[in-house]
Amino acid sequence: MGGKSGPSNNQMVQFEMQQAQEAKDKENKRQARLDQGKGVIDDLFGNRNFGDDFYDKYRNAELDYTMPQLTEQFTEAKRGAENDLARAGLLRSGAAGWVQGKLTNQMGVNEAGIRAKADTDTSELRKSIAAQQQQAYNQLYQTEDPTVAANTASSSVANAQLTQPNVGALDAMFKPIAIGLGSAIAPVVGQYETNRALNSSSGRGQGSLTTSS
Amino acid sequence: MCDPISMIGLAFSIGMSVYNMQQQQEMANQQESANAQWVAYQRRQSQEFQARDEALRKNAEAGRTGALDELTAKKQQEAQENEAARLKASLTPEQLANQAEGDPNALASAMFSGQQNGSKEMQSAVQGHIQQAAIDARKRIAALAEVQSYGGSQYGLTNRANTILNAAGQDIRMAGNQRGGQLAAYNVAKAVEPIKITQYGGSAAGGLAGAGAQIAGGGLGNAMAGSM
Repeated sequence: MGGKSGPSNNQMVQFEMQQAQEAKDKENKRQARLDQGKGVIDDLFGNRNFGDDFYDKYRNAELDYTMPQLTEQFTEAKRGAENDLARAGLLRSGAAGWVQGKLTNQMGVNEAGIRAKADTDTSELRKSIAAQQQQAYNQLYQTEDPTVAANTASSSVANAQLTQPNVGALDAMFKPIAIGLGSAIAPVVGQYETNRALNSSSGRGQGSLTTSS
Repeated sequence: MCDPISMIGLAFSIGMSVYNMQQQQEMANQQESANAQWVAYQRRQSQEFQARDEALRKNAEAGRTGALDELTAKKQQEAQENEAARLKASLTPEQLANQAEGDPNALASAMFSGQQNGSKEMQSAVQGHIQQAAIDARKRIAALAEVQSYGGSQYGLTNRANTILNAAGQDIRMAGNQRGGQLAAYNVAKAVEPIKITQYGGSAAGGLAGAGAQIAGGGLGNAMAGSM
């Protein structure tokens, strides 16, 4: 420091050395606290606490909400198809099998879609917990270094966000299968296959079974 | 023989040199004392700063660890379950809850008007369907409440965590700001320099000693020349 007397002045040199040692000790303690603090955060937000069980609970809750809608729609579609097939006298025909296959296919694809959505939404929950963890790290560094706190004071804290699943009713998940309608009003798509299935299966060459896309 | 003027000059020169040495010693003592005061001042400032900084750091640490205590998986899960229960009660229509619990009035109110005059068996069958539908609806409302309780609802998991982290963040930033101010004040204290002792008149005394020596030297020179 300027203005100090020469190196012969022992007490000033001693003081400077003591200050340097204290700064070193303080820094060592700070680093130890950082290590310890990071370890606590790692453990708190790690798999031991926020493991698959935690996230599965959320995923299952979403499935418990959406799957009954799908099942209900499937039941309705199946019942409607059964009634229509019965009215058309095709309940025990190959055409009925074709309709059942169509419904089963749609059910499988729709269920997979719902499960995929639940999985993606669960991933959002994971991101939200990870954001909490990141905030905890930031706060650790802010606590241990006031300049970090001062620098981050002006910037707003990025809050954790959870993109929630759409909890509204599902759209119609099953394409209507019109059975017994005239081919004139049946949609073009699927008509050929439907009629072919109907004709080859019934063996009576009459009636029609069409799908609308 | 030395002439008296030379002797006086020599004595004067020696006297002034002694005086000059005493002055320098005095100055060195004063400087040492000033340095000691400076060291004491700096040490006191350093200790006070470290104590204040540590106290403020502990304030920030208390805010930080307090937040972490509230964010443990156990506490978050408890909060989520409480919120799910709150939402379940809040989202379930009273009439639906009554129907699910088999309240006869609630079930009867849901029947079509023509069914009120039907047989007991028929009414019982219809009411059974209504009750089962209400139970199913409640299950799905419970699942909806569960999903909502993780995020967007009033006291949902994400909102709760953000509130806790933001509160701790305010404590930490406040402490950080105060620590920054303390550090700035301490830096000013550190820049204080020790008093510099200057020997006023020291050079004059030295000059006088030199002049005395010159006179004495001159007189002695003359005496030596005369004796040869």
